[in-house]
Amino acid sequence: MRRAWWQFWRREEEFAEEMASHLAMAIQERVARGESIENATAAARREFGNREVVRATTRDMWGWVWLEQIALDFRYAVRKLRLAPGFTAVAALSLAIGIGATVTMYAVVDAADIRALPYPNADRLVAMEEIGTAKVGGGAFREFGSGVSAETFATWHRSTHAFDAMTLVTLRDVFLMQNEENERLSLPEVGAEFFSILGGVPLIGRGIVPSDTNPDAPAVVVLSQRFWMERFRGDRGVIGRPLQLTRTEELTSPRETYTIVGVMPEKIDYPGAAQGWIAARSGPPAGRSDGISHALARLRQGQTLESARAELSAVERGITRANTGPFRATGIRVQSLRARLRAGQPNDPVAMDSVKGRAVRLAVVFFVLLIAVINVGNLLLARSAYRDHEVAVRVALGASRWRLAQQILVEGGCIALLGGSIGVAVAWWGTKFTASIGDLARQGIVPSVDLRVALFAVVLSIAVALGIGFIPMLSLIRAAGDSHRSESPRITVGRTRAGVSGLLLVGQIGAALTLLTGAGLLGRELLRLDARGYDYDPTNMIWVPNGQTFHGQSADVRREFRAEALARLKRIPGVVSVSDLELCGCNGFFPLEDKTKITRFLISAISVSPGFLTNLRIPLRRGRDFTESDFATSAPVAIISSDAAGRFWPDEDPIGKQVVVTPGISFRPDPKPDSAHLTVVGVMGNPNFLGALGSPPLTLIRPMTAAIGMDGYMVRVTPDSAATIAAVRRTFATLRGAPLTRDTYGSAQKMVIDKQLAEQRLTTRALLAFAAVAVLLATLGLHGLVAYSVAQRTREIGIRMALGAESRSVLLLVTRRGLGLAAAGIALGLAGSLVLTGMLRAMLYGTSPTDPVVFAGSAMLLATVVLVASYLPARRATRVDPMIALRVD
Amino acid sequence: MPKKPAHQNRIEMLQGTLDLLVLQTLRWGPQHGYGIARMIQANSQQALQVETGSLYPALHRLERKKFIAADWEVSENNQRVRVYRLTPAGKKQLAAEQSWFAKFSDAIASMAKPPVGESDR
Repeated sequence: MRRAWWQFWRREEEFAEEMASHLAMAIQERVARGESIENATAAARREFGNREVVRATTRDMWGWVWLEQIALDFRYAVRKLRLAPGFTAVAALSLAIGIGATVTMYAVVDAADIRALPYPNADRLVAMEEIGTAKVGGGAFREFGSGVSAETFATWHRSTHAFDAMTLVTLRDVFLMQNEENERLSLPEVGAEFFSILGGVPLIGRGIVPSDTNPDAPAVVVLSQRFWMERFRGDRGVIGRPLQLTRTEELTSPRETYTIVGVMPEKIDYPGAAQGWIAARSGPPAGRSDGISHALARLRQGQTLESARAELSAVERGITRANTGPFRATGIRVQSLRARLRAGQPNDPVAMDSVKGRAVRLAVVFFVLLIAVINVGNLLLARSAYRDHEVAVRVALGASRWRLAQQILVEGGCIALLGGSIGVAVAWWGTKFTASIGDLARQGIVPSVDLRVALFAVVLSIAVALGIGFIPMLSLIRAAGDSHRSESPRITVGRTRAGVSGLLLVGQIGAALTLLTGAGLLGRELLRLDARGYDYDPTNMIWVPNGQTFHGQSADVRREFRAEALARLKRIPGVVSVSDLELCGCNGFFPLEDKTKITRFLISAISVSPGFLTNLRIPLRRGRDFTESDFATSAPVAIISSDAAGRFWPDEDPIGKQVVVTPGISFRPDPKPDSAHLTVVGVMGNPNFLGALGSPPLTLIRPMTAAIGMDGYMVRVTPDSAATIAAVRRTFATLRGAPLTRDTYGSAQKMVIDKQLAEQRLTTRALLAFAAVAVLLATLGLHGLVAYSVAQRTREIGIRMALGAESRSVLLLVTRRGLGLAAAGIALGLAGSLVLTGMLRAMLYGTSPTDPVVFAGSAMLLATVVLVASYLPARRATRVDPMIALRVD
Repeated sequence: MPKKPAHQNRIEMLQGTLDLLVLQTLRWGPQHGYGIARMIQANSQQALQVETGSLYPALHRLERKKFIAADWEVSENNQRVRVYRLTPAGKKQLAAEQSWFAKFSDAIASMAKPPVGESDR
């Protein structure tokens, strides 16, 4: 385009010179014939004529006309859009929302699944470890990474040739002593090759050198840029300073001094959210807890993941193991670095951090953008109703169809440009927002508007511009064609034209219905979640997982430890109440009275200490709470959630009914002999946070017994301060020496459960709000389009009325057509909805993807819109004087 | 450009004629715009006055159709002038237009029974 302009101006200058030389020669010739200069100049000028006219007519010959025309169309379009600020705002904003959301989601997908890892040779980086299999409930086996020992790693290093560098990365507990409190850090231990494999050049200082890994070398640490900025405010004098680290969380544990030798740039972030790296010193890990290691390696040029895997498998078979621990390695796992970083992502489509979840979201936002494009196109078309005349006149005056199409494209382009610019701003904010969502941050996925995302936005906007122009363009070109055939194209709606616009309407109704059902289902699911969401009060709750299954300890030891922990927690200032609980995914069997109707289902059986309902503020709906004697005797009683009650005794009083609980989840159709038979004594609200912990949503609580399972403490505090959380942590630290082998309660945190729910709700709400806007637009667009198609028939209706038709029969005629279109559109839309809801299925937990209320409601709404949109303009048409209707133009 | 005369309006016909005259003139060798105008004038013995407002659009149109090509040269008076010359495609076009014009003028002549020799000698 710039080149074109430049050529245009050069051409213009050349022609000026050509004219000047023409004039000069004419003057010279006259002077040579003996005329005076003045006379000659005047005569030559007169002969030459108006220079501007010559210039303009000649310029037309250059083939640059389209450039001028586009400039003209652009001015015309801008003027028209400014004259209709309401339309412009609605169109641009709906596109902005669509483009913004699509670009944001694309940025997330790009950051998570497309963008190359920021390392040179990223495609040759692999992570390797041994794997074992473990039996999970019900006889199923699950593969898990079992790490790699230093000895095995040494063998790998020695005997393989597929790699040109390899290092061991070990994650071990390490704590930083600060303000009378130990803070857990993520400081993996790595070998000297680590940074060269990742291609990391230190920002300041140095990386890890081979001499750092000698057994008696001084301990050194390299910091990540983020940690350096946070803790040392980017102080360059940090090099050489000591960092006091401990290996356990106890304040009394011995400190080791590490010297800071360098800072690595931000892009070096392996294995995810590392705050720094410790040089691994060879030799026995004296006094350290066992860590988990894996190998990081770079494939030799020409080697593939498969060839490396084959070689490593062969090496692995040669290793004989003296010591078989609790988990025997059964194989190896060789993954690309990206696969490694993305491993452990849940396959839960609601979560933003799963590949499928991102794909579903991208599909949803793209679909909404599509609707927005079609709607804006429709609005343009509806607006062009009064333009048919203009088109007819222009065609009669010789305008080409391409010329008309060009003008519509420019107008669509203007709207798309406006929408796209706002959309990019929306996306800029959107990526910042999504980056702050915990799920993504935890995975180290940082979406941002980079060059590729910007390019995507530009391509998307161009596609949108073409899309917007497409519908009205088709229609206008057809109008132009009509006017060739007949002098007054609008006496009646021609057969062809009515047919095609009818087809368009059917498509529109179908698309709107598809969107409506999708949004409706999401909305219903959300309302359901919301309604159920507050049966407990998650504010100011701290969840302290024990992370410890008292393996091999006697029941007495466990009971003692827990009693002690409870007593100490209660003494902490700021702690309001505490409950001890054990959570167990179980098979439950209801209802036992009728053996023919016995049903197995999954249930979360929670063993609780006294005061559980009060502590979590879960309401008791019926029956009674547990009594002291229930706890004292471990009575076989249970309180079930109202969901469970409603599902299994919908028409009966569940109090007094029997339920059988079998620990562990299996597929046995009937209870095992050792199952607990419990009597229901009460019904409580739904503590549905358990779903977020991965437990079945149906819930049952029973007095604490020696069950096995995930356990921990729910601590209600006031106020919810960092000091209280720290005090809780300290309490557990001093409790050590109890039967714990590993201290994962250090992760005491502010109710993760609630946060997850809140995030889920937030993203769902955003989607819902978005869908609501789109539904509104779809309804408006549809109304506009139908009303326009009826308004087109004003003259026809006028003729019918003039010929004596009754207004009732005319109305019937028009609305019958609307009804027919609506029926066809709804049939089409239902088919589309089934496809869409197939995609949404995974997002719906409690709502059926074919929910009849949503489907029927959406269809009714659209049918109503179509009828109202055909009826109102038709009635208006029957009421006007036929003579005026005939003159309408 | 050879179109059926029936589909041409008056302006197009004149333009077509001017195109023919320009191509005919350039048959004698490269020439600049002023020179072309003077030659047409001289060869028609002042009967045909070529307006610059018609000449230059015609020249630029023929150039775009690649019937003629243009170069900047320096004239004997040391002036930069744009000189047009006939291209091979232009020569073919000239032949086609000549035969079309012959038919056209015959048709006109037989209709109008003119005093022969006034404008076409």
